Formats: sequence, structure tokens, C-alpha cells
Amino acid sequence: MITCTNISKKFRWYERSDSLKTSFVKFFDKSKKIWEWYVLNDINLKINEGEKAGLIGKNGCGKSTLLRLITGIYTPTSGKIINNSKRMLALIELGVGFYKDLTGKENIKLNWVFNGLPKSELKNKFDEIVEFSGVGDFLNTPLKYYSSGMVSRLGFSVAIHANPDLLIVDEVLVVGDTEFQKKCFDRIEEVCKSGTTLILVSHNLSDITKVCERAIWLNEGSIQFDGKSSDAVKSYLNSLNQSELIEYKMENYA
Amino acid sequence: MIYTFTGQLSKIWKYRELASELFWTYLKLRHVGSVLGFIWTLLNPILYILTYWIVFSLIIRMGLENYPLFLIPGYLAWNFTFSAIVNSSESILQSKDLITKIAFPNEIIVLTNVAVGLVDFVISLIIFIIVIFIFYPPVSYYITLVPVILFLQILLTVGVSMIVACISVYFKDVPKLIVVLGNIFFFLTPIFYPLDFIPSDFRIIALINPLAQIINIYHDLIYYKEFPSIILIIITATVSFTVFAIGFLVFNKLRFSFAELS
Repeated sequence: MITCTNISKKFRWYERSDSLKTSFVKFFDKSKKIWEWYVLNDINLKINEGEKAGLIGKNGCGKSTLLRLITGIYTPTSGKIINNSKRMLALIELGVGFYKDLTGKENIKLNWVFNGLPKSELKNKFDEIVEFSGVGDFLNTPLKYYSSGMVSRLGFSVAIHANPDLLIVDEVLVVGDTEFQKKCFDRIEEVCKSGTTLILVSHNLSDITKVCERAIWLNEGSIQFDGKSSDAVKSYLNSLNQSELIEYKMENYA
Repeated sequence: MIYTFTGQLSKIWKYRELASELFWTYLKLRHVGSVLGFIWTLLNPILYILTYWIVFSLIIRMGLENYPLFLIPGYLAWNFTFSAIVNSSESILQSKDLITKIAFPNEIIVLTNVAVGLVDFVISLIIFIIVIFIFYPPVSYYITLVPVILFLQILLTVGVSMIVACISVYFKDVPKLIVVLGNIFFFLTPIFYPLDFIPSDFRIIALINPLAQIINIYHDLIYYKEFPSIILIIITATVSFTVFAIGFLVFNKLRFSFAELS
């Protein structure tokens, strides 16, 4: 179960200045600029065990930030997050933690432990992982000779075989061909049937309605709607203006 | 505060398999593409030691008998701590991808970095001890105390590395500064000269440097073949443990914004 109480996340810009020169310039630059802003504002959220929740919203509305707060990569500026899942798996980006000079086999092993999973469990899963990823003959080849699609397939495959009790997926499925995308989605649905909690971010709203029964619509850092996924998608689509709607359609049906 | 420290350590312990896997990965990948590969690990200190040996026993006559016996342990010890600090100062920034996209205790990156440096140190130390047995007998029993002092040095190195790694995320000048400071401290630390060569008025610069004390103890054990003063060991141990704990606490305090800043 994940409970977020009054969480806010503030980002600062000046901290990113990486040299004395820029900080010096900024010190004397009196013109007002946005130094800090809230990406998330007073979010209250409760996701129960076994629930499948989708996160929707425009780019920059704070979806990814919320996911990273839940996983613990970010710490909230204020508020409290309680996440008592035992085996959380977050797919923020596929292929992270892979080393291009290591072989596929070595990378599977490394990625497995990166997710905090015991190495002893890998033995039973290894063949399944390899088979699902379809990497096959390239298993003993360094990763630098892989195509980018193969890398993401391998990344997804390692993650999905981990039997997580909480699965967090952040739009990672836009990569790969449609066939593999479908395979991934089927697999996610399959895993979810076993009672895994799912938090899914996707720009493809039909995916959300298909997989999730609940959807949370984030707008400019606060929750605009939280409820049945079909209702959330409907009201989200209604809020888009003409050009945004065209853009959305272009993205998903092109 | 005690609670967070133990909590932090137990969280790292939970990820020990990641630490060992990353450690082997770093070891494997370190020399990818270089012709001499692992030989560099030994060649580097050997070349430096030869140079210092020639400079300080032939050109500038230090007047120490069996000079290599004096020079080598200090140099190796210095090399371990200094390169661990340099590598750690860049480690968090270099692992940006991991830190912003995977949730794991970030301390592991620094710890594995230090561990990889330690492998070099231990290998060269073993070779050095074999050399002593062959060329500079008799060997005193005090050499068996070297692992104890090594342990203290590891604690100190980990502590400083942790602090430096954090600060580098906030101030990207730190890695560069470390290299410069390191070169200065190399000369201010009694590595190629004994502590009592420093005029007593200035000896304080070596005395406040915990690494200088550790190297001093190595000199006592290996070169002078005498037992170092107990007080010195107690002070060094206290300092090392304190720096170690402070390193973890600082890391824990500053970690919250790594993902945003790096």
C-alpha cells in the first residue's frame, strides 16, 4: 500500500549552475526569473494493494516526478510517503544499469541485483528471461553490439520476471516494435492478475483504460481527477484544446 | 541519529549482492581496451616508486639506509587513499543515470569504488612484503600488525570518500580541487621523508593529518621495526572511526538531492 500525505516537490534552478562564473553572473542579475517552482503541490494519494492505477496528464505535469517520489529516487520537499511494498520494481527507463562492455548474460545478472533481488532466485528465472527477451544468440556478446530495441527488450524482460508486488512503469513501452509492445502489455496484465499493484504512466490513453481500473489525472502538479479510469480519460480528453487533441491523436495513431 | 546510521548500514547490507556484482563489474571493465590491462595496476606504482627512489636517494640524498623499505609502504598507502578519494569525487556524477533512474542505496557506488582501489593496494602490498622477505631480511614480527592499521586506513578512506563524493555533487569544482590539494598534501605528508625531518615548529601540519599518522605507523612497523606508541594508535583509531561515521551521516543528509543535481 502506498500512502502519500500532502506531498509537495520543489525544484530549484540555481542549484544547477555548475560554475563560479554563472553563479557570479546570477548574483548580480537582478531581473526576476523563476528560481524555484513546485512540480507537485499537496498531493494526497492512497493506492491499495493489488490496485491498478494509471497516471495521466500533459507533459511536465509531474507524473514522472511522482513516480520517482514513490520509488524513493526523489525525496519530497514536504509531506510524507509511506510505501510498504517488499518487492518494488520501477521501470523508469529501460536499459539503465546496463554496461555496454558486459555481455548480455552479465548484464542480466547485474540488473537483477540492481533491483535489490536475491541472486539465488535468478537461476530459475534465467532461461525465461532470455526467452522472453528474444536475445538468444547474442547472450554472450557485449551489449555494445546490440540494437537499442534489443537492449530495452532485455531490460523489460529482467524486470517483469522479478515477481514484484509493486510494478511501476513509466512510459517505457514506447520503444520497440508494436509486436513487442503487445507482448509486454500482455505480460504486464498477466503479472497484475497475480495481485501485483501497478502504477502505469502512458500517453496512450487506451492502454490506461485497458489495464487500469483507476486513473489519476495530474494537472500542473495537483490531482485534477481521481477515479474510474474511463471517467478520468474522458474528462482529460475534454480538457484538451483542439491542437493538443490533434497532437495526441498524431502520437497514438500515426 | 544512531538509529539512522544503523538503518543506513542495514539498507546497504540488504544490497550487498549488488555491491559485490558492481565490484566485479568495475574490476572487469577497468582495463577494457588497454593493451597492458591488469599490468597497469602494478606498473603505475612501480614507475613512480623508481622515480622517487632515484630522486631522493641519488640526487637529493635523504641519508636513510634501505630507502625503498621506507618509501614504498608510505607511497602505496598514500596512493590507495588518494586515488580512492579522487575516484569517489567523480563517482556520483558519473553514475548519474543509475542515481536518477534506479532506487538503490547510493553509498554502494562510493563503497565499490574504494573497494576496487583497495584490491590494487592489497596486491601491491603483498608483492612488497614478498620483496622485503627477499631483499631486506630480517623481518620483524610487527609486520603482522599491518592489517590492523590497514583496517583503520580503510575506515578513514571510506569516510573521506563519502564526504567528498557528496560535496562534488553540489560543487563540481571539488574533483579538480582534490587533485591539486592531493599534490600539495603529498609533499606535506611524511611519505618520502621521516616525520622528524620536519622542524618541530611546523610538525603540526603532519600531526593534524590523520593519513600522515597512519603512514607514520606503517613506517614504525615496517622500517623502524618497533612498536608505535599506543597513544598514537588510539588517537588514529578514534579519528578513523569518527571520520567513517561522519562520512555516512553526511552522505545520508545530502543524498536527498543527488537525483536532482547530478
